Amino acid sequence: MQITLSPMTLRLFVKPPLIPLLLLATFVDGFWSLGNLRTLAESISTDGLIVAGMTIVMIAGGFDLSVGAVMAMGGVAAVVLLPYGIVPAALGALVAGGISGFLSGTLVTRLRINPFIATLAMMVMVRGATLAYTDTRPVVGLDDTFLALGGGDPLPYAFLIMIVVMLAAHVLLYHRPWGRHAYAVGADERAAQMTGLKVNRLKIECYMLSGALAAFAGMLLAARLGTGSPIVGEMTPLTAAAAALIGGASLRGGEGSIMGALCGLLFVGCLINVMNLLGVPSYYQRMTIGGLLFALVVVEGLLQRARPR
Amino acid sequence: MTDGALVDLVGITKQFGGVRALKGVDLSVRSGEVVALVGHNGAGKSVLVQILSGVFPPSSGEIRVGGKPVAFTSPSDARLYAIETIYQTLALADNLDAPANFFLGRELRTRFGFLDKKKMAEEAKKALADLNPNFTDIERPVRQMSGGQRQAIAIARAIHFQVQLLIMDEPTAALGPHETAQVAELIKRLRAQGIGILLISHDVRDVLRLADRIVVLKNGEVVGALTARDTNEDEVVDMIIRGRKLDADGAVK
Amino acid sequence: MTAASTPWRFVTPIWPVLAVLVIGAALLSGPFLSPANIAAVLQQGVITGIVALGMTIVLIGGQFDLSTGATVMMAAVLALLLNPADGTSTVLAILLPVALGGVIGLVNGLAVYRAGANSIVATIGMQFLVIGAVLALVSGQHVRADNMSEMFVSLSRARFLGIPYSVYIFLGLVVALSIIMSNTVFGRHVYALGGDIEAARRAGVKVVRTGIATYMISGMLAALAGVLIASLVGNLDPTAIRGYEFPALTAVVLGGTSLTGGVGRPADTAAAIWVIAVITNVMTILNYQYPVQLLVQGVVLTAAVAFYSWQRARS
Repeated sequence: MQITLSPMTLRLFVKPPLIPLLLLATFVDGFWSLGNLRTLAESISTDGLIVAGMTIVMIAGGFDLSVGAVMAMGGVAAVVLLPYGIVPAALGALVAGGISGFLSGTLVTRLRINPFIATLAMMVMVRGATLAYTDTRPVVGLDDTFLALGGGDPLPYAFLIMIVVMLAAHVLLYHRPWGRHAYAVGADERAAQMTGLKVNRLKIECYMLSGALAAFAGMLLAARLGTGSPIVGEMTPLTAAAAALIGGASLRGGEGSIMGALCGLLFVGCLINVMNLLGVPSYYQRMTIGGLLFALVVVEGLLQRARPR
Repeated sequence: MTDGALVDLVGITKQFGGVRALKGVDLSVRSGEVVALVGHNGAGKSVLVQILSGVFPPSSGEIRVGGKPVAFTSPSDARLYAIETIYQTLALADNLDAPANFFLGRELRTRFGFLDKKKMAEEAKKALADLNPNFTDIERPVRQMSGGQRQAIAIARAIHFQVQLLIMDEPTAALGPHETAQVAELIKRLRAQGIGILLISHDVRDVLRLADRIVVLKNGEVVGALTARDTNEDEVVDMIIRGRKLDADGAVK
Repeated sequence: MTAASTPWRFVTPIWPVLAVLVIGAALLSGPFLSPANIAAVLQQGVITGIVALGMTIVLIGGQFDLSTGATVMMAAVLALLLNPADGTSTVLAILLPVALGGVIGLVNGLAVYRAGANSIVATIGMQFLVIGAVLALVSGQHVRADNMSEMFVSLSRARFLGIPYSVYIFLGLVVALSIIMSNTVFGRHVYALGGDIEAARRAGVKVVRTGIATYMISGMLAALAGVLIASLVGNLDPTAIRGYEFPALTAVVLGGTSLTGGVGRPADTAAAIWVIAVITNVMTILNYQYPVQLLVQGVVLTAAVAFYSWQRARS
């Protein structure tokens, strides 16, 4: 007998097994407590902004390894600009992230550099610049409005912001021509070029979006931690890539969705949360994420090979 | 099986996921015979070529060489049975020079196990000069070479190593009229030497001129086999397009 | 034979760059040319250089290995945990990490060449897997070996003609790998893999086996680099030695190995290693700290990639 699952059921039970994970989590003491759910919401909200950006870049056939470094830069930039007011601080972070994304996109499109290598180089440059600017120390000097941004009751503001961003990204991808074009470029760049799409411009916009979202996430993280740290976000590109891949995005481009990314994000977030609750040391979490990512690309490779050529 | 056949394909099928690319193909090639395989894009020609050259195995069916069943797990297995292929894409490593491509997969070595570059260069040069006397500057990456020169390398390496069955996948698709004539000459010469040739082409006129037999493939099935001498362009084209199936008497259904 | 006969015989631009830099550095700062500093520059490049040599082989085959930094850390920690105090344990402390590096390479190779996984993401995943496993093994604590045998220490410390053994090891590897890559069937097949993997397969090259071998070489070389670190420092904070893959990748790319594979030479990577070593050394003499060095490395990598892609687009 052939069992047919609706896409949503498939998404929640199988790819990723989010509902089974949540059911299992019920056996973990304190998972469903309000306090823990709040922690969970906080921890996925910054990553969520980045996953949204990463997913869009991957749909357009790219990849962004620089998101972790850009997040650190965004946090530092926001804190440094805070004396001029919270709006300049936020704008500063967004602009810094956007510029970094613009540079990544330029490297990828105009210089035709492999996106992994281009954003790897960006990652190192941004990280180096941030560390150099801060002399490797966290920057402080926070005001109350800014710190309040890291709070929020009952739901953290960051979580609400993430939901709004995800909704906007969903609309952008599904209900605007721009999103169509992004899928087209990711699926077949040459075909998209020949139908008259401005491929380079669109890709640069994707990287700018990813950079701006990463920097904004950095600002929210700085508000929550009460400091702008230049060393945060080392694992971020991995976590974000894992979430996007679990959520159906592909390294070949042209595939993925925000709903999928959200499910992937929840899955990875719950996994880490459960490990924290169980007192699993962070090293094992690192192993888990690494192993998960490794397994994901192996499966993706195998699936791709099974297809007709 | 067909008596005296060099290679027989019996009931070959190939499935990719849910797609049935070949649905039970029989085909044989004798020594000194040119068999042309024609059909639309997607008829299954290229899948059949790749199965016969060991790129991937059939889903079911049998490949027989000299009457004995064989299984190819890789292209080098097919080469062991003296089956060589000139792919439409030529399958050259663009970064390597002509001798390196010529001997790729069967490099000559010195006594100490190192590459015998000198000998490989000499032999490749000789073999290429046989095909095209003007082609002497062979030690540079093949990406810098012309289409005709690249084609020459692909052909030369396929016929250099005691080939018995030569598979030519669209050998003239990328060539000008002069070079196409050269390839036609080559096919005649090889046939005279007793080499079996499986020629894949969409140029029906070419096929009629060069082949002894013409096999028409449509939607993964053999829909007709014609003797080149007894047919004409219209009949072949008709068969490619309409795919009329012949019954046992050879009459059109 | 013509100068531009085969791709691996081109005179690459990295050697003149090295020459200019050395002369420039000598003019810019007096202490640069002191024998002690030259030995230091040579030694500074060794660890990264050995890692980079392995990554060069993998990249000539058309793939990336970003797990090497983690393998370096694994090998250094494991070598110290094995406490190379006497003869047997010294041999073990060298061979076991190298063997394990080979196993990591095997798994990478299987994932990439057998399953067709994206090599960048797969090896980054492997990197975190290995780092996590090593940190879990030592609970994130310092590791130290007491009474390291003279033989183990001498790997990195002993000198011949004023130059550390490790430099000779590196030079030996450069020569051996150069011969392997340009004069053996294996080397030729690696170039073919990077040039056109499907063409190589159709020409009868054992693609999976050759590809896996490139990753195993890379894993073993990275592990050897880790063993040399262990020998040099004797005790270490595992979290402090990581990220070797990035400077190594920078050197590989700077040396002219194509990001799409098929082009590159181990000796050019060695030249690039010394270019970076000279820059780092001068920056250290001029008192620029790690973050600025990181920034400069990123800029150098970007510039190198841009230069080579421009050069290839032109030809």
